[in-house]
Amino acid sequence: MAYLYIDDDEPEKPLPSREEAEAEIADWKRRIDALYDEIVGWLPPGEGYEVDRSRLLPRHENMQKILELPGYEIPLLRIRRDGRDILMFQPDARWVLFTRGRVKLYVGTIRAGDRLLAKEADAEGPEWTYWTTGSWQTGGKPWGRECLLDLLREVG
Amino acid sequence: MKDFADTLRAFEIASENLERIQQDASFWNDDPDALRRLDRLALVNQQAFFVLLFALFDAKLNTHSSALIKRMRSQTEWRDRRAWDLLDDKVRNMQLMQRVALLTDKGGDVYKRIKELYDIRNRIAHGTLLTEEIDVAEIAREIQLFAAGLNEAS
Repeated sequence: MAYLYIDDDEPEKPLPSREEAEAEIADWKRRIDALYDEIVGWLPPGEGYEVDRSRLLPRHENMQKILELPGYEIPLLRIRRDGRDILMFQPDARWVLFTRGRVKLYVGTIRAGDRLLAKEADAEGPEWTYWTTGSWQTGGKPWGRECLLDLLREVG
Repeated sequence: MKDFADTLRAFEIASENLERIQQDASFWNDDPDALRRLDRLALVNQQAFFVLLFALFDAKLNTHSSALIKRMRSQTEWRDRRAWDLLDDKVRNMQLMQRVALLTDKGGDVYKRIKELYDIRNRIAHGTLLTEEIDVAEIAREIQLFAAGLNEAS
């Protein structure tokens, strides 16, 4: 279905092979594990933060559907205090344009639009950038310990 | 650039509500069909706003390329205006990337990047399923900067 005027068509980029896509998902899981390890390591000790990485989220990305590959499961990272979720990291997709993946970040009951974007393999800069609702004109900022501590202060 | 800001805000409100629904569904382990349906809706939302943002860019491009042509055609020296006279005022008849080439160097990085974004817009317009998600806010920022740059070039 084409519903807009089209001109100047370009051939589409070739898709990855099934093997390449499977390797990407394996790498995505490794990078998510490394991200979670780092975040957990940044939590201030002795302040009652609890970490839960046990819940698995089923994902079946469009790229996998097109390549007729099965979906995969990936863990959520829940940071809890006083029996409530204050931060939840949810890997959303490995294939997000101009990135190497996106992790949604739920900030308690305050916000649902925050996210971390993984830089492209050949791009310069930090591995992950943090974007929040309303910050699109200033852009993302490098994800690091200070970002996490700011979020923890925000949710109280 | 209020129109860009309003469009992005509308996307954020729609997206945040959808994400809350997705969060609840994934947290409470709703059935896989419901989760897939929500994923599909999120992708439609991203694609719709991407196309809308690109349409705003296209409108700015029309305004600035028309202004440039008009200005160049009003030169007194025939030698200066003869190539511009061929274009007449109907910029809408020109392909989008030709209008971009009037306002930025065809060999430059900005042209190349706009072409890349335009190709994505065309893939959405074709109705072909994108293989990738779109982070709309990141791309909105870029498109707005390009639109602002057109003003200077015209």
